Amino acid sequence: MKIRFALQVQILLSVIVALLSGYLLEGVAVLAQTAVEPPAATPQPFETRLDMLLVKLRFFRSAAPEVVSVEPLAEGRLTVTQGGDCTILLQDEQGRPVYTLAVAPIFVRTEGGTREMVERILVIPNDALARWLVVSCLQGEVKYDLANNR
Amino acid sequence: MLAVLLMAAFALARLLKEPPQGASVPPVAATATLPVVATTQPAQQTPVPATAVAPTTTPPALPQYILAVVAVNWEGSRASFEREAQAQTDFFIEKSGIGRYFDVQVVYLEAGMEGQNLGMDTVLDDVIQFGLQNQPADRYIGLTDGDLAPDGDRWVAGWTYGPDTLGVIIENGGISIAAHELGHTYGLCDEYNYSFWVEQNAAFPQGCPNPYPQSCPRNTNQVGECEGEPAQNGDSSIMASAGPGTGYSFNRESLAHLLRVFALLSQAEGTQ
Repeated sequence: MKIRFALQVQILLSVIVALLSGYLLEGVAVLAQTAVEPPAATPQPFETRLDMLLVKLRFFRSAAPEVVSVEPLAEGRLTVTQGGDCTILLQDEQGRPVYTLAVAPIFVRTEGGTREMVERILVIPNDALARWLVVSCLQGEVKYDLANNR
Repeated sequence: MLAVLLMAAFALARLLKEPPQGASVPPVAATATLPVVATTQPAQQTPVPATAVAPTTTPPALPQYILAVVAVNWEGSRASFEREAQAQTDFFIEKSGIGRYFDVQVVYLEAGMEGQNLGMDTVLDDVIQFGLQNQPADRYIGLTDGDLAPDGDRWVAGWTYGPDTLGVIIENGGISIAAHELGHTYGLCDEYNYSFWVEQNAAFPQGCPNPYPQSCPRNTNQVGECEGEPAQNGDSSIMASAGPGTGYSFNRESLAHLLRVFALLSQAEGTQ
């Protein structure tokens, strides 16, 4: 009887210790994973922010888009859009996304007049982790190395 | 036996524990793209009363929205520029209802642009770029007392590229011109010409939220052919031809759309 009681206690203690160990080890794993993930930029629309990028793009009806220029902007306000077929993507060195914006090139001028090419100017964050600016549309894609602007 | 129990309990602990946030979900890139405004099909559209989208309570602090006005080839006095800029922006703010969702600030840039070719497309891009480099803002209004003539169309008193374009270019003289062009940058279409409306309905990602008026002709390409659908107060539609008078308002469908867009914008991530 005395031995059986000791075994029950032992089993109970083992379960408790194992549960605690499981939680602790899981926590360590999460911390380790968090440490290597790049922190995502937090967009703050309708606020003037320091250190932005002014991006000038050229969109074509039947060809891939072009990056005309990328220049640092001491301060600016994020371009906010309602979406579109083209994606402006900032990627880090490993190609992971750090910022994305959907845009819709409009190939008409209001008050009449169609266009084969339109330029579009946008303000996006100058994210320290961003290495590539990728502009993707149905017509094609262009990848721009931001290292030239730093 | 103890070792077996330990392993089983460890596995149990992992199962019981909720998956940690971010551990199994790939990182999501930040974005400033809003949820899509409900796609409208003008032919089947049920107009939404403007009052239906008005906020029921006043938010404690509204996000700030900056309109910046840039003088383009302005030959008059600085005072006349500022008078015109104030009249145009006040009119837009009053008629659009943007003040319900934003604390709107208007800035007149000290420096202006000179020597611009008012007939070229590049003038609008130049206004936006000049504005961005000199004054952070959400929309730029290039204002000239010269004559805009895109594609040689000298009757044009203002233009832009449509939804999400960061700026417009306008002539002075008609108080509703800035409101008309800014309306395009939030997705509204021209109501005075069927060809233009059809063109924009096809080109704008969500089509035209303001229907082409039933009473207007559909077989003409002549400018100023139709006055558009009047506003609820009887005023002429701002998205029809802009004239010199002040009797203009956004009509029911246009205003409902603008308020929907402003509501979405004001709730964009990071805003209050």
